Amino acid sequence: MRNLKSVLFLAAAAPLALAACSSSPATTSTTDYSAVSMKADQAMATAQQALHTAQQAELDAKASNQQSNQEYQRSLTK
Amino acid sequence: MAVERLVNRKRKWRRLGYGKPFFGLLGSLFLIVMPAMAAEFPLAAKQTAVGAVEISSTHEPDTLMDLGRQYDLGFTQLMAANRGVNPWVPGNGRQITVPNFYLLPDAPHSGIVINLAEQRLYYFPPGKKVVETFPIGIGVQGASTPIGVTRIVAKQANPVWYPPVSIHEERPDLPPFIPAGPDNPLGAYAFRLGWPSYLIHGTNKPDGVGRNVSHGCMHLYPEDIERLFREIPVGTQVRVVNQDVKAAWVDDELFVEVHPTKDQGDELAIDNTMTPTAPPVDLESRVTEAAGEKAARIDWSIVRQVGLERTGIPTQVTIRGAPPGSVANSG
Repeated sequence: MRNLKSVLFLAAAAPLALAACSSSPATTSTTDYSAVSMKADQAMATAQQALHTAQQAELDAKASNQQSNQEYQRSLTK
Repeated sequence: MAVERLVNRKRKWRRLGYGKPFFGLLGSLFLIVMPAMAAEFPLAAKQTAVGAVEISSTHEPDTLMDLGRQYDLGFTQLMAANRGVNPWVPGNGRQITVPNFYLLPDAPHSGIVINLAEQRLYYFPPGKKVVETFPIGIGVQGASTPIGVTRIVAKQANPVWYPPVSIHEERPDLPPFIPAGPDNPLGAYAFRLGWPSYLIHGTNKPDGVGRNVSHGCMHLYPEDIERLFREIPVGTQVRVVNQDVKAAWVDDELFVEVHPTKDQGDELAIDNTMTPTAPPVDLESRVTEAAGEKAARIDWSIVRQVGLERTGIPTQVTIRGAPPGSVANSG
């Protein structure tokens, strides 16, 4: 008898508990993540652009360094 | 790890007594702070190596070329031991490996011995138990110095340079001759050899020492050629070899030294680093030959590593204390 009461209680309470857990907080969370995700995408794009610029600058500097070294080596040739 | 190996090696040299004759803290400080006197080393009978690897610290605005001049090292030699360092701006307080440790070339210890592969000249003064060694600049690709034996046939102070026809064809702007002075690429002194087109001389561009920049002549820092000019008489034998692998026993341990290829030397000059290439084809046979009956003590993985890295620094390749036969030759 006692077991039956427990089962009935659980059967009634479980849907309520599930609804409480899944409804309103989930809605709020989705909205926040979307905003954060957009900002993150923008930051990522900015960072990628900066990285690309830095990589290009590094390549340019390396090429310039190589050219300078080559010219210097040539200038040392008798 | 590399630094640890160098420090260990340095300790070994101190233990052997080949390094600076200083001990304890005073010796350590001296080794780090003072420039090396690289030119001359005591040489006992049957000695196979001289010098020691040292660590130096850079001071702005010195370049790596300045450091090379200070320690009497060539450019390629210094760059091979310090890859990736910008030679123009090495930074302030940067630790630099000073590879002032040499296995002597496999040649008779007399007269002048020039090893093109390591861009270095050795002089064994007659009657003295010393060896003097200096970095040299050598020929560009395709303009190699002959290998063989010749002699010094004349000494000339303040030489006039008459560019040969081959150089005139490359550079028609050159005058028929360049008188002694700051524009003369021969510098202040020259030795004429039995090979008419090839000289050992000074330079008006010291940064070219330790590089492949000549048409086959060998040139030294001005202070080095001045010293040799005073010491070396006409008639001295000059032996030119090309040993990119050197191996020798030092205090019952086998050391191996492998130098960058000519291409890698040029790459170090242009890119300040070098692309690994295969070890010299004769590396294992040279090491085996040098090891003789003790070949079983060789750690061949170290030999291969030395062959790949080509730092030009002698590295111990035997396992200390290992009884013969205890190390497998994976060769």
